[in-house]
Amino acid sequence: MSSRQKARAFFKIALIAAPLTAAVLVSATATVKADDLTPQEKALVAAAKAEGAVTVLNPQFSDSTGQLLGEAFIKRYNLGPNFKFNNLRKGTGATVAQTRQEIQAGKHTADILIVSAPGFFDEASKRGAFEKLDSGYWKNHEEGVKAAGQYSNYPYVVVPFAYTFQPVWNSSCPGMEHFSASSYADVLKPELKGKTIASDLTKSFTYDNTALSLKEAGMNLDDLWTKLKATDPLIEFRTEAKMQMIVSCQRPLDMWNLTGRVYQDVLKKPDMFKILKFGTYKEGQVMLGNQAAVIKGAPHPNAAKLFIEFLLSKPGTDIFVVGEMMYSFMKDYTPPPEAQKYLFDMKKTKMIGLKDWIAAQAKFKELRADWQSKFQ
Amino acid sequence: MSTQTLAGSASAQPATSRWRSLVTQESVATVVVSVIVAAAVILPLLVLVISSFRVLDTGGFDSTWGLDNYRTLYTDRVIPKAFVNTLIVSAGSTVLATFFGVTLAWINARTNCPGRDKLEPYNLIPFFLSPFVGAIAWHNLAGGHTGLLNSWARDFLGFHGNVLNVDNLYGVIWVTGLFFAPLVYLFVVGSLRRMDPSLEDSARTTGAGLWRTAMTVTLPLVAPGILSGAIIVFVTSAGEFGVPFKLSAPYGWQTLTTQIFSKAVGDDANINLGAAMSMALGIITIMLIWIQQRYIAPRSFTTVTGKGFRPNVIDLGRWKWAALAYNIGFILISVVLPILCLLIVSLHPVWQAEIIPADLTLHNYVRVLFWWRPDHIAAATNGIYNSFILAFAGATIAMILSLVVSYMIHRTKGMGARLLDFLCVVPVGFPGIVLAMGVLLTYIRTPIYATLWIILLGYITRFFPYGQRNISSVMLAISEELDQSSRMAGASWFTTLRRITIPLLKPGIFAGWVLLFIIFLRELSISIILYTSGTETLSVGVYYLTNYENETLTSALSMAQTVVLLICIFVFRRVAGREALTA
Repeated sequence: MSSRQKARAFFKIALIAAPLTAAVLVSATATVKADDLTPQEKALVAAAKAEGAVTVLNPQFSDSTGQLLGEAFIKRYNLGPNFKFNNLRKGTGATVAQTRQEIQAGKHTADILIVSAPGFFDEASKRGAFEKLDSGYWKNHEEGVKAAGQYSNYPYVVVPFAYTFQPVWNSSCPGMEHFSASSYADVLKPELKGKTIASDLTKSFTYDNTALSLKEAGMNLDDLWTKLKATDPLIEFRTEAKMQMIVSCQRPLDMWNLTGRVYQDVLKKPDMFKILKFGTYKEGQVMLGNQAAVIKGAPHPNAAKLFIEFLLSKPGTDIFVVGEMMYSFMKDYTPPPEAQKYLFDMKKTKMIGLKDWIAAQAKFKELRADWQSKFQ
Repeated sequence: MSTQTLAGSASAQPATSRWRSLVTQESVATVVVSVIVAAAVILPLLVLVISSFRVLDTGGFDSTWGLDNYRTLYTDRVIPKAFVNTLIVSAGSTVLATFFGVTLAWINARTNCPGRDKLEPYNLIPFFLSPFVGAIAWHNLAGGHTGLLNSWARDFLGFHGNVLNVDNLYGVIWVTGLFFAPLVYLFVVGSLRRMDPSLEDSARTTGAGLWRTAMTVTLPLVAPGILSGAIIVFVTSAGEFGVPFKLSAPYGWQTLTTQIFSKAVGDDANINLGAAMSMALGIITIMLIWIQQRYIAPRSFTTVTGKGFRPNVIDLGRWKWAALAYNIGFILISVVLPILCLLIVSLHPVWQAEIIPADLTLHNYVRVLFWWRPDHIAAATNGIYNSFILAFAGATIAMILSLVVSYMIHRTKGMGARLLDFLCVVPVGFPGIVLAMGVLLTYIRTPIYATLWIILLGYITRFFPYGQRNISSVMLAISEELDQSSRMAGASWFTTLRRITIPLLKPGIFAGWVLLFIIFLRELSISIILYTSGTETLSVGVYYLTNYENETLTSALSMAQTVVLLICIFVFRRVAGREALTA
């Protein structure tokens, strides 16, 4: 493609995306009238303002999403220019490890923990590690969360969003021009040798839960690992790092990545939308609910509770749905138009999950050992 | 009655004056500094030992006493392999660094290689740069599929597949060997310059050729220097985190440091198992450092005599041009190529393993440097700011501590001095990541947790011996009589220190300060364990971008760090002079 064509393509995408993104941001960041807030929100605003800051520990929000969430949060509740929003991003295991250490030590640096780790949230809830929430919005989500079989533990633990791992590939890499994936058989073909990535199960609860969900749905994991191993994959953990491998053709196919990462690369270079592809698995998509809770003893508990309310509200939801291509369980929720091409319709896609997310944690050790016996 | 009182007061007075004579400025300073150093060094290691015997349950909240962590060290699928990989990397890096270090030192100190004086500062540059950034650069230069050199070899030379691949253990050895070669160089070049030429002359006059003289006389004489350098490289390589994190861990080759990181604060966290692994690594490294200090280091002075002399300069004939090409080649692969690669990658919005001129942009620099812009990346901009604070404060505090400690060691006698000397060796022997684990476990319940103070404490504990050695080398050259004359003339200990000792030590203090400033600016192993939101450092920023963003942003911040370090190296050379490091 010539540079003129590239520029034209860029402007086309920019012309479509810019007004849509602007519309979402304007609606999301607009200061709302006090009457539009729930009583729970109103009750928290003054105390949150007095606390002056909130720190969210999570593995998900990119810097740009964190920035947008912070700005919109401050604006919506009129928290003032001095209010500080901190988005601390670490890996899934690392967020849990840090929180657990801090709970044990009684020293807290983060106010909110958001991560997909049902076993941890259950154990910590039993130990009284979380603040009690009083949410005006949870009722809009509860039914969807339960219907999707996700773990929640209101009034301590809520689920503002979920994500699912999908096959993502780079169609511009040698040998990938005609590739397409709609089943696990597609991504495990022997001819993909040297083109694949294996997600490191030893470092992530969400990969573990995805694998266990597939097993519960009847997939033979031993066969899956054997076939994947036969493609001589690189082992990597973070979806961002795997995405870099896909973009550079180091490994053009990842069995489990996120469409949000595709979107983030398209934002950096719009042409990427034409070459980065993703699919859904006909065997079923494992939806991984991300739990959120306010840590007891946190330095800014009211601001934290208010931020959870914001995440459960539609304006907050719109921001992370667009920024990270997450799924919301909010009743009658329709994602903003620019997000729709990255998200599948949950009603039209086969969804699978675990019967017991808590008990799953006890199976991690065996699962990881099996995986390690193949890959490490 | 009155007699008794008088007698009583008479006996009390000598006792009081005895106490007063014990409680002097000097003794108070000795005790305070000893306690600070002991607490800083011993406490984290003690906590590490205790933690290694606590076994976490599956929930991760409760623990019991037991040996399970140590059992896991050899029953786990990954840890024993990580141990073996660490030994392979350390041995390989040592061989490579020793080869580069010794040959370059010999070319610069003993041959008529053209421009050797001008080349020497460039040979030392890798020592000051971040090996982690070097690994990032080499990944983009010679990574399988994605390396620029591979791409050029395919496009311009018609090669198929990948000519080079540094994404494995050999890549770790390559980058670590290149970056640690100056360490061996520094240990050897001094011995070569100070060598008595009469020893070589004797060999030559009895008929030995250049090669035989080099192997039978020169090499044995500099062997202690080579061995010292090799041991330091082995230990430093074993404790290196950034290079294996970038080049080998993602491709299935774990090392002990990547595993310790993973267990400490990473994604497979079991801090007590991490403590047990730290103990295993720490015991190996401290043993090697002890051997170096006890047996090898003292021997390295045996070639120095009281005679004034200049070492022989060997005429290489036509080979001097080969020596020049070799030296320039080293500078190219260790400094120029990696920096050039970082620059190229950093100018792209996404890195597709090829230069796309239409894509070139400076936007990545805007995001990692311009903190006032709404789209800046906080981990990067915070990192730059925090690193400068830590480097400035850390270097200053460490040098004050080093000064007092050096004074205690070299100007006071007895057990206290020997104990302090030993305490100064311990942190050098423990890799940064191990010490940081101890610091984290020790101070997690204190107010310094999650502040810059805990990182500062980690930095100072780990690196103040570097400053102390710098001051000691100058202090040993200054006669004690100057201090004694001042004290005899009635000056207090503090006045003597302020008006006599410090002015004489100024060059050593300033060189040490700049050296520590540079080390702190590029430090990763300690910061990565101890940082949290708002306390990121420059290297943590690079780590963050590697993990959570992409190669182009990572390269932009890496470039920024490299430019800052190059400026510091320039300053260091200007203020410390040529001999500061080799001393």
